[in-house]
Amino acid sequence: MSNINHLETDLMGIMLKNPVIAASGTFGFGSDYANIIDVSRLGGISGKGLTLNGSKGNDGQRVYETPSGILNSIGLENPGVRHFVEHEYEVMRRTGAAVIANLGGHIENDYLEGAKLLNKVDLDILELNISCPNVKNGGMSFGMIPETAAEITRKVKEVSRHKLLVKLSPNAYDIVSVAKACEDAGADGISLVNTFLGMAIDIDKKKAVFNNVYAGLSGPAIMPIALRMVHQVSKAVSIPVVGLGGISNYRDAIAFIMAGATAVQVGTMTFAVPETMINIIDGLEKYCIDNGLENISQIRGII
Amino acid sequence: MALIIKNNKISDNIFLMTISGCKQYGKPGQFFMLRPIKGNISDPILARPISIFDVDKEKGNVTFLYQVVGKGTEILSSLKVDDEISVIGPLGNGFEIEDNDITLIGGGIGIAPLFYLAKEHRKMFPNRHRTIHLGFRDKAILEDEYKSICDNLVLNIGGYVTDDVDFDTNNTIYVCGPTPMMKAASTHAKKVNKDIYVSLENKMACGVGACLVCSCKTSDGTKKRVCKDGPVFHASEVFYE
Ligand SMILES: Cc1cc2nc3c(=O)[nH]c(=O)nc-3n(C[C@H](O)[C@H](O)[C@H](O)COP(=O)(O)OP(=O)(O)OC[C@H]3O[C@@H](n4cnc5c(N)ncnc54)[C@H](O)[C@@H]3O)c2cc1C
Ligand SMILES: Cc1cc2nc3c(=O)[nH]c(=O)nc-3n(C[C@H](O)[C@H](O)[C@H](O)COP(=O)(O)O)c2cc1C
Ligand code: FES
Repeated sequence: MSNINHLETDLMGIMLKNPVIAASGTFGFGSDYANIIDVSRLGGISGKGLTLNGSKGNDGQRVYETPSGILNSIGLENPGVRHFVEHEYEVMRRTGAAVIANLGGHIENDYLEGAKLLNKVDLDILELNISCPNVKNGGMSFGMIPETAAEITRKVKEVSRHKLLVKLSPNAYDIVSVAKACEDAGADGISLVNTFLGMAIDIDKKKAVFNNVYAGLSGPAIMPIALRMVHQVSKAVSIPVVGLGGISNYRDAIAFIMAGATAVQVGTMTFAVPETMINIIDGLEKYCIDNGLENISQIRGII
Repeated sequence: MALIIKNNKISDNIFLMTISGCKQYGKPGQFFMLRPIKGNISDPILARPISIFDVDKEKGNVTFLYQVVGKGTEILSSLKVDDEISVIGPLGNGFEIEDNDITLIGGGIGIAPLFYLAKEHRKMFPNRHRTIHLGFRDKAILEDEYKSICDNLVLNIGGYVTDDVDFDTNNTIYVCGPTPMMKAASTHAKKVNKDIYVSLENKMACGVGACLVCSCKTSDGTKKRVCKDGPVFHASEVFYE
C-alpha cells in the first residue's frame, strides 16, 4: 500500500510514517504484541513509563472495568532507565516504529538523572510523564500547576539532547495554562491526556477496590473530555499536540486530528482489539483517498 | 477471529465451548483471551483469559470449559453456534510435561487445564501413571471424561481436596484452583520437599505481557507477569517466602 505520502507526519521535526503511536504503559517496549500484529507498521511506540531506579509498582488489584473504560493502578512498575538503555532500547529500535521513551519520576532529581542517562541512546522522542496519577507524591504532582510543570520541563530540556514531548494530566486545575507554561519552558510538543483520577468501591467487602484508593480512568469513556482538552490546548499553543484518550477507530483518530492533533496515541483499546492501531492506519489512508487529501495534515485543526 | 462450533451448558453455570479457526492450538496450561464481538464492543472492554480444556488437531478445534461468574463469561455463554468470537492466543508458558508419574489436583473450574495436560501426558508417556484429584463444592462435573484419561481418579465433594492427596511421592504434582487451595497444596508439598507446579489466575488486561496488570510477587522480591512468564510457576517461585 502506498500510504507513505498520505500519512507521513512531521512531529516536532521527527518524520513518522503515520501519525499513529502506541500509548505508554499499554504496549510494553514494543515486542509483546509482535506475534499478534505487524508492529513495524506503527508510526511510533511510547514505551512503558520509566523511573530512574525502576519500581515494583502497586500491590493489590490493578485493573477494574467500568462502562466503556478501565481504571488502572499499575503504579509505574518498570525495570529502570539503565535497564532500558542496556536492553530494551535496541528491541524497540528493531520494531521499525519511532522510539519514544516515557520518563516519570518521584522527585526532580529522578527526572534529571533519568533524562541524562537516556542521552546515551538515539531516541526519536523523550516523552516527559508529569501526569501519572498512580504513584504517591510524584508524577502527577508536577503536572497539576503551570509553575512546577514549567520548571521540570525547563530543567529536563537543559540536560536532554532529545525532542521533548510533555505529557499532561487531565487532572490539572487548568490544563491550558499548564500547556502554555510548558511551551514557554521549551517543550517541543505536548501530549494529552493521561488518565483521569477515578475510584471504585467493592460494596460487598466494604473496601476501596484499589490499595491506593484512587486509580486512572482510560478508554472510550473519557474520549469526549480528552477531545475537548486537545482542542483547547491546540488553540492555545503553537507547538505540536499529540492527542489521546479513548481512541478506538479511525473516526476517533480523525476527530482528534480535526481538533488540532498532529498525531494520536492509542492505549486501552489495543487490549480489547490488538489490531486497533493497524485498522486506524488503514482507515486514515482510505479516508485520505476518499476525501481527496494529499496528506492527513490537511484536516488538522479545521474545527 | 474464530467460529463457535458448540457452546453447551453441562451443569449449573458451567459451559463447554468449542471453536474452530484458531491458527495455533497451543499446549496444556496455555490460555486464550476470548472476547465476543457481538454487540457493543466497548462494554466490557477487556477480553477474558480462559485455559485450553482440549484440542482436536485433526478438526482444528479448541475447547474451553468455563464457569459464568460475571458479565464477560455471561456474554460468552450467550453465544450461539456460528457466532464469531475474537481470540488472542495461545498465550502463556504452559505446563512442562515430564517423563514421570503425575498427580493432578483440580479445584472447581480449576480442573479445566488439567484435562488437556493428562491427555497429552498419556500420549507422550503411555506407560506412566496418572492420578487426578478433583474437588467440587457440591457437584462433580465431567467425572467420566477425566476418568477416561487418568489411571486413578479421586473425587472430593464439599471437603478439602488436598486432604486426600499423598504429597510424599516421587510424582510430579500439578495444581490449579482457588488460590487458598493452591497455597495449601504448595505448603503440603514443601513440607515433604516435593516439586509442585501451580497455575495462577490473576486478572488480566492485555494477556500478552504489555500492561503489567497481571503482575505477581515472586519469592525473590521481583515481579513476574502471570500472562507471559506464567500462568504456570513452580510453587517456590510465587508462594514460598
Ligand atoms: C490464565 C487464566 C486461565 C483461566 N482459565 C479459566 C477457565 O479455563 N475457565 C474459567 O471458567 N475461568 C478461567 N479463568 C478465570 C476467568 O478468566 C474469569 O472467571 C473471568 O475473567 C471472569 O470474567 P467475568 O466478566 O465473567 O467476571 P467479572 O465480572 O470480571 O468478575 C466476576 C467475579 O469473578 C472474579 N474474577 C474475575 N476474574 C477472575 C480471575 N481471573 N480469577 C479469579 N476470579 C476472578 C471477580 O473477582 C468477581 O468476583 C482463567 C483465568 C486466568 C488468568
Ligand atoms: C495499564 C495502563 C498503564 C499505563 N501506564 C502509563 C505509563 O507508564 N506512562 C504514561 O505516561 N501513561 C500511562 N498510561 C496512560 C496511557 O498512556 C494513556 O494516556 C491513557 O490510557 C489514555 O489513553 P487510552 O484511553 O487510549 O488508553 C497507562 C494506561 C494504562 C491503561
Ligand atoms: S495481562 Fe497485561 S501484562 Fe499480563
